[in-house]
Amino acid sequence: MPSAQIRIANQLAEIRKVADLVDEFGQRHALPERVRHDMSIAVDEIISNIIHYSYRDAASHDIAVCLRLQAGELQAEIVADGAAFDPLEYKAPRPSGPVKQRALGGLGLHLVASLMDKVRYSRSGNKNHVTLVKKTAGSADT
Amino acid sequence: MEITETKSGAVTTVALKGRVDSATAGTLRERLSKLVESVPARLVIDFRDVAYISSAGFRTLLIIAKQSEDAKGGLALCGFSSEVRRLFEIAAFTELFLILPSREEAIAALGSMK
Repeated sequence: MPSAQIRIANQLAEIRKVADLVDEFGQRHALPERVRHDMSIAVDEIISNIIHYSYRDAASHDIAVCLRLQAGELQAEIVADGAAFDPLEYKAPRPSGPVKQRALGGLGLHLVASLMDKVRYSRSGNKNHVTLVKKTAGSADT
Repeated sequence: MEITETKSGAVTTVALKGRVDSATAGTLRERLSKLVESVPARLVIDFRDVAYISSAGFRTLLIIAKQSEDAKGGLALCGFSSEVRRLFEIAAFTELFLILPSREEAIAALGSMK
């Protein structure tokens, strides 16, 4: 089963490395552009949330990402320590309203839910495991 | 992400190339904020070479839209690929902006503003 891993520090600037990995891994395995882009966005959203909300200290924390291609699915498993946060529990309402009243809370998780085919969450020990799943075939052409 | 500015009369076009995400949204916000603050501001943002946009990018666009409204400026977006349009629809952002297919049409739309 093809896979790739990366470990990054909890800095927003590090997310670029993960997006690059998703792109390279996706291209290497001839995945459609839409699949690569949607997964890059979802990974960006989850990791940004982790960086903004998970930690109670100013220390450096590792975030591990493992990509896998299995049975017609691209999977990204993101593992991080920190406060328990289940992205599935957060039900964001569909965004609406004019510019002045538009709130942005939850937009990232709304994107994740809309772009991914499955999202799984589990917690073991002090670590959150978020797995994002995108089918690699059958989505509309880009 | 690369950001390129060009002027056509009173309209400034900002062309973006690459990803608009957590890593790049901050820089984009700084550049666009400066442009919106220069009055009268008529700003076109060209998405032709944008790979994708995440919520950080949408957050920046919303901030810029609010600034532009406050400054009574004009703001138009153009050059959406089908992927970018789809993302805007999911985020329900298509209703917030003047969106034209091409840069020429966007510039014309703002150029004719009173």
